[in-house]
Amino acid sequence: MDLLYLSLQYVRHHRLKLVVLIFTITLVSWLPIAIQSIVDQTAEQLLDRADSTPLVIGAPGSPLELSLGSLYFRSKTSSTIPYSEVATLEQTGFSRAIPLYYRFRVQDYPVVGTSLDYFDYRDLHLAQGRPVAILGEAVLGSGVAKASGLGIGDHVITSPESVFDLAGVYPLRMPVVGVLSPSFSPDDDAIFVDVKTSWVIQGLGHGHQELNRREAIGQILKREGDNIVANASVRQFNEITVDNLDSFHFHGKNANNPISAIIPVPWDDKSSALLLGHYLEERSDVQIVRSRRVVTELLDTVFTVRDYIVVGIALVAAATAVVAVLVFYLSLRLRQGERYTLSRIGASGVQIQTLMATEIIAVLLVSALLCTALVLITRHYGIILMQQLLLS
Amino acid sequence: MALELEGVGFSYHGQGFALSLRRLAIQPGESVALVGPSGCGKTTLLNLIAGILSPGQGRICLAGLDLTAMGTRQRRRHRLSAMGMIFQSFELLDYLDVRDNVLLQARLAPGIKITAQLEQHARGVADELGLADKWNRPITALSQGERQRVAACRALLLDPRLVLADEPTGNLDPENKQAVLDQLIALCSRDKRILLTVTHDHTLLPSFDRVLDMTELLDDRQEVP
Amino acid sequence: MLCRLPSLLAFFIFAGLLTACDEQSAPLQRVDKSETFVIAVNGPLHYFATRLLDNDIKVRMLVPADTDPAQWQPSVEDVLQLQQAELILLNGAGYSSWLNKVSVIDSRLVLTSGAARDEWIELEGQLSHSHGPDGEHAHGGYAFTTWMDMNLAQIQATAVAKALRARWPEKQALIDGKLVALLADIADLDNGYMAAATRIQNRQLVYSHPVYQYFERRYELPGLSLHWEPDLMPGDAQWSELQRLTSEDILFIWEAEPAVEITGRMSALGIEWVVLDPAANLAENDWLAVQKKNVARLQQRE
Repeated sequence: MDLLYLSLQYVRHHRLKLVVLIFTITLVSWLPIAIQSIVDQTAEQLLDRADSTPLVIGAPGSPLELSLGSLYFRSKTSSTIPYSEVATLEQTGFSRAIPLYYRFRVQDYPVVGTSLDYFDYRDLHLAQGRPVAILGEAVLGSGVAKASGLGIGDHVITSPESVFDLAGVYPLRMPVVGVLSPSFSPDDDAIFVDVKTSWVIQGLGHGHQELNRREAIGQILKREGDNIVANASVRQFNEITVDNLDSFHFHGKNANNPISAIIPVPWDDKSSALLLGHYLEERSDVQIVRSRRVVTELLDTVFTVRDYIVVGIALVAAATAVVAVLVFYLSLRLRQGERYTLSRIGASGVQIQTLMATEIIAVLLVSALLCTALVLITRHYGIILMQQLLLS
Repeated sequence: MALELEGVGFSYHGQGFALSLRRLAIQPGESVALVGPSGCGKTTLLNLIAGILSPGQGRICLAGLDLTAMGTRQRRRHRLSAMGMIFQSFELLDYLDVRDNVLLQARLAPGIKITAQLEQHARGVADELGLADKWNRPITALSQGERQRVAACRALLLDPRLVLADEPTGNLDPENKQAVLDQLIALCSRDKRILLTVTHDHTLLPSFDRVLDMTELLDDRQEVP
Repeated sequence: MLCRLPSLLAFFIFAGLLTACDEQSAPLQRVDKSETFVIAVNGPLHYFATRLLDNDIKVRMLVPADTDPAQWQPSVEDVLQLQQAELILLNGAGYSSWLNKVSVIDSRLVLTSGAARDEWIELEGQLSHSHGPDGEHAHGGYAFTTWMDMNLAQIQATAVAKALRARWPEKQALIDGKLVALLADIADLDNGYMAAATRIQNRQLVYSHPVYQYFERRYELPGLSLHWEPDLMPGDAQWSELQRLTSEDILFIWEAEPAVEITGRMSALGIEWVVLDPAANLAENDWLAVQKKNVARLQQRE
């Protein structure tokens, strides 16, 4: 304990030097491990997600945008395909089809319009509440619920796409009826609605007062035969309730309404191959992408960049190690007088060596602990940052 | 409790230096100055007495204990517990404050615990040497004279029978030299400790009980009672 | 390796937590293991499914007995049951207008008249609306009592059988056998209606409600459709409208037994009437029995 006390006093007195050493050694140790770890884990997650969604069908364009949009619900483009493609896909007999429409947001969270099949497909389970039943209802991913503090009985309001487009997409207030259990996937940070609800958000469907009643006369522009033409003063409901659900309707056919993508779920491998061939060779108005291939190409670039960075850091680490050894050596040289004094006073060789070694041990031990802590933190938060970087 | 040397001989291998001393005896409470030309073996003699070096022949006894019969480890432990060393360049640890420097030897000595009682005793010694208000100050904030007093405190803390001082005033200004030496001699005399001091400063010699010329100790020229 | 130890530990803790979570969370689509069931949206489909299945698979109809299935809107609890059904037998022709407002598993929907989509009768004179001069119109819709055309009823029964076979392939033989019998029964109804039609084809037919379009087309019995409720005395204007058509050949076709006071006035006017119950909902008698009674009653008319 006395030696420990003396060692601590030494460390305290030279704390600046030791902090700099610890910082430097920790940094050059942590960085390559962190980068390797983040990239590996991110790659694993991306590939897992891609493998769980082997095929995606969407509008022609960037396969990367389509893949990442369907897997992570983040897309810079607004390309869509008509909902009729769902029936077209199912009519091939090769697959069932799960629609996705992820154009809209509640603050930063994507609103994913889809079908109930999606939850079964992703093996998503309810932690609370129930699935969406009627138009306008929402189920929250576990991450959304946790971050926002919202739960069953609360409401979420969709974010307008542009404050300057008042006649366009307007906010829809949606009751939360369910919260999903954590799935440790992008689904945790999404809000799920029926795809038809997405169309209501877009304004393709709406509810309003009945126009064939006397009180609606002020909202009528004109009558053309059996058709009533309403003017813009018709009050449209911004929330769907059990009471006004009956008034909600869509103008036009669902088949023409837009979706972002379709997840095909082939019946078997043969169907998958046939489906792929069918879409690659016979359809030019939509594209089918193999998610794993797209993600692998993205990751190849990331791995290359990672390798360059790691090599660079390794060189820096080598230089840092040399400097650290030099610092320790010089420090021991400087403490020669101290060793001499201790020896003359009567300290044993073991006592003297222990005191001398304290500096090195302290630096290495603290660096190792800090490095370990940072690696653990990095493994948790680094992946989130990496994904945001890749998806932005 | 005397310090007795008899027939002590020592030489550094291959260096052509040899020391041979027939007899030396110093009584408890006596302060002795050891003078002589540079290179005559004064520091070597101190190291032999301290047990840092081992004589090739002869006997060194302190308070009846034959130091030459001890092994290296035993001599070292004996040095820690029974002797105090004061050096010309103070040899304090600059990363410790006054308190921790004073207690340093105690921390290294086997079987000694830093208790409140010991600390109180250490403060008492420091007070006697005029360091009362410097107890928690860093060493680097002290003057030369104050540092040497700290070294003296360290040497006196464990009630040593023997205090060996090698040029203790060598780095002090004239004002401090005499003051520090007088305090050291007074404390050792009061507590019946043997004080053996190597010094080149002849102005300080009158302060000592006895002055020994190293050259006269060597080669059977003078037998010291 | 030492560096990986903490993360390995963390992984196992996470895995344990995940397992615990799994045990506590419910699948999104709860499957009621205690009963396997299909849901039919109307009486005829309920009848077809019941004829084709054994008791181990239940056939449910969520529409209350006193509600016209075509006007029924499911509650949230009803929708949750629909989500749990193995199959949902839909009529088609826009019969279930609520379908576009609820969330069900699309792969479990069976559009029983889908194969005869081009035979759906589009309605004219339906009130629709649009927003702005150039806005899309809400569709007028189709007539939906497809099962009153026994040929279409056979198509629907066949579609039900096909869906049941696909869902329970092990019951194929059973279903096929029962389908033959069912189709034969429906064919008998068709023949019965045909025979009855020849007897009344020269009559001026008036239908109490516009729910006989497919019947009219199949059996070549066109008529005028009114909006008369069997339990509500028509107003004077309605009687006047009817009287303008007074002819010895009027045969008034009611969808249900009319009130005595109505039939009394009809008798006073010399108007013959007969009940032709579409049997859209479940009743005391099954759909086939009701249709047989319809045929019998029609065959008594000339």
